[in-house]
Amino acid sequence: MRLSFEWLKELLPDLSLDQTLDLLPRLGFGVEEVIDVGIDRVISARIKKITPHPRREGLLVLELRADQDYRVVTGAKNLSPDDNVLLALPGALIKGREIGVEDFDGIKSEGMLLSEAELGIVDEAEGVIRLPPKVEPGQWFNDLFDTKIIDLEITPNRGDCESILGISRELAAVTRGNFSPPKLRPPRLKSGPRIGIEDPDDCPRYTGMVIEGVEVGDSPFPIKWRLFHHGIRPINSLVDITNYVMLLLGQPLHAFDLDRIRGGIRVRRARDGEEIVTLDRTRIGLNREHLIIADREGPVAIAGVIGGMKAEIDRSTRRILLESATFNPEVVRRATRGLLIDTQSGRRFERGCDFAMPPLAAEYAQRMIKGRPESFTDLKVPLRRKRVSFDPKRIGRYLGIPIKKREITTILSALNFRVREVNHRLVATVPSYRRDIDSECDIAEEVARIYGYDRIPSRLSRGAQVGTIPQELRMIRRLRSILIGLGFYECRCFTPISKDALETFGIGPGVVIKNPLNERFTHLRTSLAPSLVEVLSTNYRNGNLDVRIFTIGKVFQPDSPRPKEEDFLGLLVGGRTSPPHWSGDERRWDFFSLKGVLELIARHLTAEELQIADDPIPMFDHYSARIVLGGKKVGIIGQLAQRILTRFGIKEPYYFFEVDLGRFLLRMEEPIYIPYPRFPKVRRDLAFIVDESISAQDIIKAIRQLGGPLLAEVIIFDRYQGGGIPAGKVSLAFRLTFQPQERTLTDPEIKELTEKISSGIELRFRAKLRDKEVDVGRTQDFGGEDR
Amino acid sequence: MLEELKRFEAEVDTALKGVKDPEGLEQLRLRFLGRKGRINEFFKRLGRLPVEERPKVGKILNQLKARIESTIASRRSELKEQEVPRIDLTLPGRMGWVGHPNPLSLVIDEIIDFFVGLGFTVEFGPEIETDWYNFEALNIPPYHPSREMFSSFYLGDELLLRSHTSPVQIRVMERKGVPIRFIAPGPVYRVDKFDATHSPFFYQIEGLYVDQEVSFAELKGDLEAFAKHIFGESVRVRFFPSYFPFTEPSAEMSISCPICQGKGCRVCGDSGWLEILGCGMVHPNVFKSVGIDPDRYQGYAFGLGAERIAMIKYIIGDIRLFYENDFRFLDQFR
Ligand SMILES: [Zn+2]
Repeated sequence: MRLSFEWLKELLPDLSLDQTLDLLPRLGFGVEEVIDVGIDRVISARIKKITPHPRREGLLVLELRADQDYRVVTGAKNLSPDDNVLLALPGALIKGREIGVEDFDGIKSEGMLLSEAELGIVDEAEGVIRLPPKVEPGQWFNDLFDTKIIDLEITPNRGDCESILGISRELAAVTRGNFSPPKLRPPRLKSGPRIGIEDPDDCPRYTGMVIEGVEVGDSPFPIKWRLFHHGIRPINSLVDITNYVMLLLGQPLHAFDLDRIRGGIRVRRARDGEEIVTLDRTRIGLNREHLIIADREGPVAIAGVIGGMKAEIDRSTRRILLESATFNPEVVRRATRGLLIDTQSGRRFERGCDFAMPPLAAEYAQRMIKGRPESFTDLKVPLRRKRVSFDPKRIGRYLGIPIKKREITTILSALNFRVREVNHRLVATVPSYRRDIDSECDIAEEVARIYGYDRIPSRLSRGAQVGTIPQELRMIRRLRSILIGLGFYECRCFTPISKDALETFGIGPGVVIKNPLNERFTHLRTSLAPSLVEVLSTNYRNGNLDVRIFTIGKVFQPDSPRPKEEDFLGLLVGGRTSPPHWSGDERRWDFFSLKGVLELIARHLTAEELQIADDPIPMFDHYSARIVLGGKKVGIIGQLAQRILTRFGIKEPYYFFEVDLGRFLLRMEEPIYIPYPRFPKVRRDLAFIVDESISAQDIIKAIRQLGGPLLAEVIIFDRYQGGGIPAGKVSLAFRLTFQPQERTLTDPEIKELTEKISSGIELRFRAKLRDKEVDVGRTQDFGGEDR
Repeated sequence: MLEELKRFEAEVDTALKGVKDPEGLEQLRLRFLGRKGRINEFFKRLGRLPVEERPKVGKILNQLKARIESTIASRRSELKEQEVPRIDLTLPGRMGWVGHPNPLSLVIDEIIDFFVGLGFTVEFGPEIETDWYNFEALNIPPYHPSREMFSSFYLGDELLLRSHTSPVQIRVMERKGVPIRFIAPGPVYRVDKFDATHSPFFYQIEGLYVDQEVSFAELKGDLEAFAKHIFGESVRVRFFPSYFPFTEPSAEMSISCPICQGKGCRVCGDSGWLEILGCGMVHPNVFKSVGIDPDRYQGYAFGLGAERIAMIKYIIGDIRLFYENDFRFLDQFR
């Protein structure tokens, strides 16, 4: 909210700007900025004499009195002697232009008379600004009018502070200096007009005042200047007064042209299908949600939000109905939200206005309006002041300060609470405007604010609990550090993606966001691939073709009653596997290097055995498979389809996998040391010729089964097709490592085992053992991978 | 003859030490060990010695011969090594790449580790939430103006993307009761611009500490220690009253700008202060919504944006950099 310091000062005469800016944040009102709207070298002046320019038609020569006498040449019309005007002297900056002394055919003009257009208040002005007669000539603009506008952040709980009065009350509570709030009193008028309220829940208080013989014209300049710098466009003298009073007291007012109202008015919910054309010339369809002010014929205003064109005030208006009411904040908010109308009135009502204020504000406005007040109606539900009973010791415990009952009482009294003591508890009667105060904790905040947050001590807590990092986070951290150690960049990506991305990658319908920000973020992703390909594309465009990236984050799937969300790891590679080297060594990422990364992290972080199942997946070309763990599909791996990469202008192959971390990072037990075997390992190599359709992973699994607990490791060290091998067949060479736990294996035992394995494989896979087993010797090597 | 042998031994050592190439070494070998060489000469002269001296001198002579043979062999291999073409050892080594973390992870980890050190545990919650957890249980009724502070993306009438991590407070208190003390990091979603200083997606870290005597003074103490841990001991903190529906009293914490030491700079908008988090004492209505007696328990809660902390700590001027993952950006973090 914008608020002029000079206006505040009218209520708090002792206040300095520095003090105000220091106190406001301490009270909970953040100062966004202070805008200086003052204009130097502009002075009030009174016209003494007007003569036509002797040589130039249409120009006048004015003799003016200000701090001294000036002569000004002007083209302005309708000037009379004794008019008070604003004179910009040489050196003044007006609309970015510096005023200088100008020569008009032999007569020097020592300045310029200002119009409202030159001050930016209106687009086009009819003439120069006329100041009220009581303004003495020779006063600087900056001493006469608002110059320092404070842009304040007012939190939604403090509707009572959306006014000069509200903020000055807060400041007065801490400065405890001179405070002269506006004099407020209820109107004393005969009863009338006729007003009906359908439901007091919607409108707990409604006052209407009839004023006859009003004159509507232009507001005096100081009011226009003030309104303009509080974000309100001056309209006419009457509407300007309602807005002025709202800014001062926080009570929105609305004036209806009574001659345009048919019958009495009624505050009621709109009927479905009713319509209103608002003051800003918009036609709005209404329904039961909306509270309106209606006459016999239909809506004349949306209650608390905006008036209708039908009973609009204009310069011909003679009789008005002045509305000053309290509306249900929730009802007003439904209207401002539903209809997307943001008005200063709506903003105040939805934050809650002072229930006691309507008659006082009406009377205050009436005093400013030229006209005869006739009658006044005040409809209201009985007013109950809130009382909060609290334990003063609890306030101290809550804030961590030793504070005495007396100090609490003093603070609350400064904030206009009435405090009584009842059986060691205090009972505070809450001021009518503090709708935010309901309980003990609210009292604690009031005490803390005035006591001063700065004065509350800082104490490090002493908890009895030991802090721990949960297993799932430890696993994620381990995973991250392994991947970073392997050369990968860790990426953080948005979970919302575009519909286009879902379609391009063929990853299903996604989860729709009903109110997306823009077309880039319309759906929740169902795969990490679009996120990582975007990162690839960013870096590829910068000439980084060697890409190793991963991201860990949520992936969503439509489901009922709510979409599923799971933590996934996604990883994308391509280009060289290591930096270029002068030796000429170079490898490029391929499917099996990526699969190696998957196997490596699986070996480190999961208990189950990793399997791969061929499966065509839309986002992949050539290599495309599902990752299976413990019989469950946990992810996908493959080469990204060229069709997708081409869309990003990428020509080289890139490879991607993603896995569901919830299933992948299975809970690991704490390690328990098992004494490592002291007996020598034995290695045997076996090569089989098998049909090429048989998967290596199945043979390894079978060898493990046949080998039993003695078989510690199986690796494929050679794969061969071609000369000597029949077409459609492949030779696979396996190296088996046997690791006895209790004693050294004898040659016959080893022979028996390898024969069992080779005949088993031959039988199961219709394989043929290629060579006789080769003894690669016993080794003294006790280390190495034990799997 | 023993004297003579001693002199010969010295002569051999000097000669072998001084030889520069394999040819010279071969000449020396012939001179010392050849058929007509010096050693054979000595053996021939052995017959002229008295019988009782012969075994002793013969033994010495044999040892000397063996020593010369082995010295020649080792010199030979030394000279051979010197023959290999010289290599420039200043050429770069062969190595792989090491990766880089996103700076958000560095900051989140640092914050987690600080609070774990203070006795907090770590909890997580879903990113898709219900209106109840995201709003109502946190004392934000429908049509409350404060909903504007947390404007949300909706997936359905009741389902939305959480607009803060505070729903985790509700979920964990429901599950584990009180006393409790934890932080909850994770992404949150707000309908907001996407420009240098705003993002509709960002990481928040929630903290909750509930017990019988946790006061505003502990809130100040713990968060001040946190600020000093992250930004250095010289950082000063200030607390200002603020408003969040789920805390009362509520506060905002500012730190003295660590970039200009509070003197005023572009980052802090010349104020010398930077707002870094919101906090407060847990509102009794929050306790009531999870069935905890607010007359017995009290506690504090706070929420902070990881991006904001990282932007101040590493002087990053554009929030979008975290999500672009440009290598030129990530390369600077380790
Ligand atoms: Zn600074």
